[in-house]
Amino acid sequence: MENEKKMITLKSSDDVTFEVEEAVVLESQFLSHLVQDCPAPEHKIKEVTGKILSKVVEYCEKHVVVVVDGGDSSSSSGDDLKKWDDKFIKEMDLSTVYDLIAAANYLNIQALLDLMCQRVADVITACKDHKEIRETLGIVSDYTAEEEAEVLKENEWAFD
Amino acid sequence: MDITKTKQKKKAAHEEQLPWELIEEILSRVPLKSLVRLSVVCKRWNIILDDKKFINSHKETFRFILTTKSKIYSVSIDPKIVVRELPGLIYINPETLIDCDEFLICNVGTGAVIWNPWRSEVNLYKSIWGIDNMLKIHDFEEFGTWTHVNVRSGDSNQRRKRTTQSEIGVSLNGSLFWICYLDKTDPLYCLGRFDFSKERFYTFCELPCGMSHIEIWVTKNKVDVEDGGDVVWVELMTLSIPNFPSLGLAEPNSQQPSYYIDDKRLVVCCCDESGQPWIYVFGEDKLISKVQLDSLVGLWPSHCTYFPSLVPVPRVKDEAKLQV
Repeated sequence: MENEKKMITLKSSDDVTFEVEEAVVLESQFLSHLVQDCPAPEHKIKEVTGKILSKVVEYCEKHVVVVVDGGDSSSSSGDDLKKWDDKFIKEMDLSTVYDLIAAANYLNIQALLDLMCQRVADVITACKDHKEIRETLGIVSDYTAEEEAEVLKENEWAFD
Repeated sequence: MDITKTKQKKKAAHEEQLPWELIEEILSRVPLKSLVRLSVVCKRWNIILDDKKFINSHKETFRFILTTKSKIYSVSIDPKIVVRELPGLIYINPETLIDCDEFLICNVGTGAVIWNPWRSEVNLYKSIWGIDNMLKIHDFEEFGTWTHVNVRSGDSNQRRKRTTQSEIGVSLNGSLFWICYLDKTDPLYCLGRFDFSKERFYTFCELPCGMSHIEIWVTKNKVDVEDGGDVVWVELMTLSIPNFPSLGLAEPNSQQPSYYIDDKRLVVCCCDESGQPWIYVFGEDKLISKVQLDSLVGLWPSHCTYFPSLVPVPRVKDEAKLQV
């Protein structure tokens, strides 16, 4: 086994650089193709800012370590990972969550995309009505008062 | 960081930040019971929720409904088979389930209910009236016992004796269809159609299959429910009997298999001889997989194919008259 791990540098849209192990990069389908096709030491990711890329790197580093270590005792490390994920999302505001969803989608990191989308879905589910959803997510309704009354009437059952 | 603290400065951030397909990704993870009220949030969400594609890609979408004496379950097929209990409808206890386009019609002994299991909505009817060729069922007390309809009515050619073969018809665009057995003629089977506006039973078209093995045929083009003359049948697959799992069809509790065809795949829900429900997947003339459903479901559940929809259940304003 080689002890020396191959390092790759990722550069965000605002020129923040992150030096990561190759295994971390492989968590992203997009980046693993990029690294294979173009074996340069540094890769610029124009679509992702430094703030968001740092979160992506943090997530991938955590997940890659657990997968490697957790070969034999996957259940306990699985629980730890879930706890870590919970903490990771709780510390984030929704705007960052949206940016991470977009980044996970672009970089093709399915587990991160799942985690972040589930976070927003949970926030939506926890709201007591449509007004609270709008307020929490900052959505401006484009219904007129009449249209809204009509849609509400159609869906009366759901509000019982 | 608290979400509420940032919401002020992030007005409309949601709308601007994410493309349509990622909003869909998020909404497809909101549980069923919270989903319906989301259509009131904004027009964009309402359009997403109205789209059949969205419903089919929802994480909790399902393809079959199973019912036992006290519980109702949904069965998802893709990406893996998952059985989930559907909440809140234990009082229905349906005896027969019929997939009727957007809804299920359930015979509950004292009458019938129209049910949308996806929305958890239900409405009890004793009698239903419709308009023109829409649903028109006079007495729901007798629902499920359709054999009282004269199967020879409406046909000009009365020499052929027809017998309804399947207990439960299939509803398509407001018409009901049955498989009928033609006595001593070739071909042996035909498709019967019940015309609600004339209250008559017609031979819709002949069926291409015989009796020696199990053949799966599909129509080549979209079927015009009024006219069976143009129907072209294409053979999808042939399953030899040893290939086919042992189904408990000879048992007194047994029910005909529920199934749907999706691309080149045939997915069947059926009970075995001991009453255990199974999902069988066939493709290219072979059994691809078989999975026994969760033991929680119990023996001999009623089953039916049902693709979820978010269409609200029609409500009766005047019980004697309902336009479905």
